[in-house]
Amino acid sequence: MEVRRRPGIEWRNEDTRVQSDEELAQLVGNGDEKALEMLYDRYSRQAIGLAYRLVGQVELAEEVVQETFLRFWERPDLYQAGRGRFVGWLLSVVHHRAINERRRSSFRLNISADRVFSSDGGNADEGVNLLNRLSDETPGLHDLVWIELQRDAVRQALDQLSHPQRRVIELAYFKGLNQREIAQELGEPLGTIKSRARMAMQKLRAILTAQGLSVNAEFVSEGEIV
Amino acid sequence: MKCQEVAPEIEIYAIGALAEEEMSAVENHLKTCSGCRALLERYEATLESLALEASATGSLFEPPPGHKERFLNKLSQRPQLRPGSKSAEELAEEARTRPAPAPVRPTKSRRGNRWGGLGRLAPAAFGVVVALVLALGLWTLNLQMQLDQQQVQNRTLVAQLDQQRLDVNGLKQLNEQLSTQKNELVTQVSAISGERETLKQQVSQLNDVSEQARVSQNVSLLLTKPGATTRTATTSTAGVTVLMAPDEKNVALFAHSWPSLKEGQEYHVWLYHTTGTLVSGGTLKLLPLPSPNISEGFISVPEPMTNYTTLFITIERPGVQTPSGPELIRDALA
Repeated sequence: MEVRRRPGIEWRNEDTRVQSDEELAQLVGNGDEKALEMLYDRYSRQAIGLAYRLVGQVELAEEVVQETFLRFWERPDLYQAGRGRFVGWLLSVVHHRAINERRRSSFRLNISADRVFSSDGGNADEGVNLLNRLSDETPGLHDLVWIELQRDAVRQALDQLSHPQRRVIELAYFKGLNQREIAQELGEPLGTIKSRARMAMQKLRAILTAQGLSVNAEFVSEGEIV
Repeated sequence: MKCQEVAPEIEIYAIGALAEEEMSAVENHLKTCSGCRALLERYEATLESLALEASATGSLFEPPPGHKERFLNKLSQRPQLRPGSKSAEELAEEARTRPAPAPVRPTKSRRGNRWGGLGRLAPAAFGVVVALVLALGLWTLNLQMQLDQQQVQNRTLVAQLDQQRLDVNGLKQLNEQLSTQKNELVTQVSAISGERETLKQQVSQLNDVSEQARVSQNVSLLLTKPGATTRTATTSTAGVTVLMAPDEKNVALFAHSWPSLKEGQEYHVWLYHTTGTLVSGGTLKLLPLPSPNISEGFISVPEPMTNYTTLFITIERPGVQTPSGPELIRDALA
């Protein structure tokens, strides 16, 4: 019998243990709707925010995120705990779906930052104090610490790219432009953009792997495209 | 699309920079090609890191009102597609066959007669013959007696031999019993040794849990302190998040991807006081967390944290008074 309590337990107070994302994801695999609801509470806000940056419509962003959660509900095995953290996987899938939606919709972005983003927080760099984000609906401190370390490492890795390489990543991944749109925006040939994107990703992966962040980088499986 | 066409596009597909029709073509290829899928999966962790950074402003996002209710409504209409659970296959019992006992064949003994009658002889020779016969008879009787005696001796020897065989069999059985007992004892000793190891592991695990609980309680206490805050610093090889409160002397540290310690090494925390003096923050013992490559530790410093400007960690031999080992990471606390 397992008598050992898992390391990494967190306490909001002396009696309440905060379940990790991975524990909740496992419960979803057992058909626990409440666990899915808790994960939705934790990450729907930033997931919808991410999708909105790419699709430019709040309703569409909500649709993308909710369909991602519902797909995970139908097929919880799509997330494999051994390959990384739940939040990274979830947001990566949301990004992929949002890009697909953006390509399908072919609309023009018209984001009103004033309307959508609250004014009490500032930008991401100002959110260094994780405790401001700790509430009943957020992940536990350990998950927040992990996310912040990951983000900090990515920022540093991006800083190590050349300016043109970083620009391609920003326009593609963070703004959702396709390679032709990027070529048009930068006034450079498509071939240059292609090779720059390729080099940027290879370098980024090498830097993050050296930092121990791409621990499952060589993992190969019968993966399914979500 | 063929692999030669897809492979150069993998990075561009990964960051979502392909047009819709190009994206569909690559995805159709990836569904059936494990080789190209493996190329993409090399970027899995990188993409997850990028997604985390891209969502950084998401925590400031105001989701549309009623989104949670709409989600729960959709959820109630979507059953979970569970793969049919396979019932455990019952194992058939092995039929035990017993050989029929071999029939016992009765032994037969045979006996025969050896003596015939006497003829009539001439009177002259009769006496000689009688004497010879008598002598022969006596000699035969003597031989018969010797034979009987020998047979008695033989039977005695056979009996003794049987007894010795019984004794040998008894010794063999005794030897087998002793051997079996010895094996049982060896098994028991081995089991006891295994149990002792298990108990030692359980004690070690309980110590870890106890230490973990102590750190977790200290962390939760720190969280409740006025002005509690975290700071995160990373280098190209390591990261640290410091959880502290202005008037507190306790500090929690979350270490990311720190190098493993060798025998006789320890992590040592150092701080610069506002006066410029270097102060030891003591040894940092790290406990693993479920997050990959992240562990946590707790230290107590001589004065409240507001009195320090910089914190850094080095790898040292036990008992050092000033930093002399390699520096892992440094954070300006202000």
